[in-house]
Amino acid sequence: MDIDLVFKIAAIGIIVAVLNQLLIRSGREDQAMMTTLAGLIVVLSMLVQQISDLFVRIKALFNL
Amino acid sequence: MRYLLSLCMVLAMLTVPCYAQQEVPDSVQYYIEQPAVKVEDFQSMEAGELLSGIMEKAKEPIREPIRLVIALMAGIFLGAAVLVLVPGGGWSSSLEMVCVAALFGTSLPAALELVERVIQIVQEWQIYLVGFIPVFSGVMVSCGQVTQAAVYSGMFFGMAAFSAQMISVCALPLVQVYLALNTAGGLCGVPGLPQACNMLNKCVRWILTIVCMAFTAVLGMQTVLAQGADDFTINTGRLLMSGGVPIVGSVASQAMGSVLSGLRILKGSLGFAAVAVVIVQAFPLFVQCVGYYMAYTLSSAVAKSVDLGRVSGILYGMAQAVALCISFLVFFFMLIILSTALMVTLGGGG
Amino acid sequence: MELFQILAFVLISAMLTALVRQYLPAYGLLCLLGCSVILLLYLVGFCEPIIQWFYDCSEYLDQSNLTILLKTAGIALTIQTAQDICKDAGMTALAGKVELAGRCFIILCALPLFQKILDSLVVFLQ
Repeated sequence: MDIDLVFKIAAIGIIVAVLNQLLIRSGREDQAMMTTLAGLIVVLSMLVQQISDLFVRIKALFNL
Repeated sequence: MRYLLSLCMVLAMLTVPCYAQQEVPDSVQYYIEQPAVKVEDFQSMEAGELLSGIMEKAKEPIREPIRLVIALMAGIFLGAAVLVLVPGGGWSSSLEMVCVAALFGTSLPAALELVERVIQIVQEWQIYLVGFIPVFSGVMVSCGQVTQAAVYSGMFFGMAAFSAQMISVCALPLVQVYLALNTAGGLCGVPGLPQACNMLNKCVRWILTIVCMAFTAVLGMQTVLAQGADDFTINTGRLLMSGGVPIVGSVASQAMGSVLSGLRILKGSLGFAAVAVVIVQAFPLFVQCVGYYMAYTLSSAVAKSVDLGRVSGILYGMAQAVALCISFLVFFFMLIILSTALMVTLGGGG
Repeated sequence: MELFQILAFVLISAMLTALVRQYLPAYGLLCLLGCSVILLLYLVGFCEPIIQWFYDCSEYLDQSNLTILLKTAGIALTIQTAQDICKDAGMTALAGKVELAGRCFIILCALPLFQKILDSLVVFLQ
């Protein structure tokens, strides 16, 4: 069971949140938004692998 | 059920071979010339051997019902597990519908095929009677009992033909309609359908009762006209009158007592031919019917216990239909044996 | 037993999700998604032998009806997961549409079953 994945996602989330706040406070809102988006893309790429793995297994198991 | 089982055993003991010298239909001729049990072996056979012989013969027809019961159990447990594991409110209705449809698809073809086979065998027996009765009345004519022969062929043949027609044309298709209505009620949950099913059930039993009573009346008239007021026939008639129950079970067991006492004084080999042929044909199908009835009842009880109410209702309905088939088989069987025994008795041994 | 591992995992993920959700709701959803997917992967691996046994049973008994029942169970499971995640994200409309899609697929799967029943009924009506 890949427990670390959730911790990684949470860690990235917290880091991105902190960076977001910093950049907004220093007035660079567009860069804040870009950091958020970048973080989102990184997390999604980590998750997509797992999701596709899950769907392939369910498909094979139930003959869907 | 006990009565049915005891009836089974008693009937199996009557497989005494016989060799007819008159013209009988080909299938009958085959059975007569290839006896299942020889007279000497039968007389020296003990109860244990007899029982094991019956078990051997019963093994083949009972395989199908056992497979059916295993399939139904698997389906029921799977459905129950699925319904438990997917708790979301909206899903339970659609999943239950699929479960009902799956279990129904498993159980219906077996029931329909059984009803078809019962219809077939009743029609075969009708053909057999058509061949047998003229032969027997011919024998009685040659023994010098012309009136009795005329009575036998006329009234009994009419009665047997009427009963067989009623059963194969009216009652058994009604059983199929009952199965269909049961299905629809189970799958759709339309409110009026259980009452319609009950009514159909009562209708079929009513038909069976009417036929039983008509047959008794004919027997009584045959007796009067043929001047053969035998104790045995009167008892039989009385017992048949008290019959007409859903499963001709208790009547059958009591009547078979009088059949045995009547058969004990039988000397006619031709009478034995009729009995042996009918038994040999009936036994596998009868065992299969009983097996299916128990399979359906058991599955219905299990479905009820895991809270699949609709499935339980459908399976119970199928069990009822199989019970009706069993009662038809038993009735027709008794019809043949009792009338043959009656006539052989009246004819003084043929 | 792995039961306690699962419990611990779920509790910790719940807390992390609640934490991240305050600052960036989208990430909370992603955390949630990650947790559900991992749990489901574990459960699927767990149930594989059982379901394989059911398939072998139904092949032995010549019953294709049981496989159809299993398929509908699988569909219900996946759709239920997606529905819950949509609801957690606050998108009840999407959840409703997903449920509708799921029901359609269940009926589609069960269609051969109804076809078989109709066929056997038609045969004896003739």
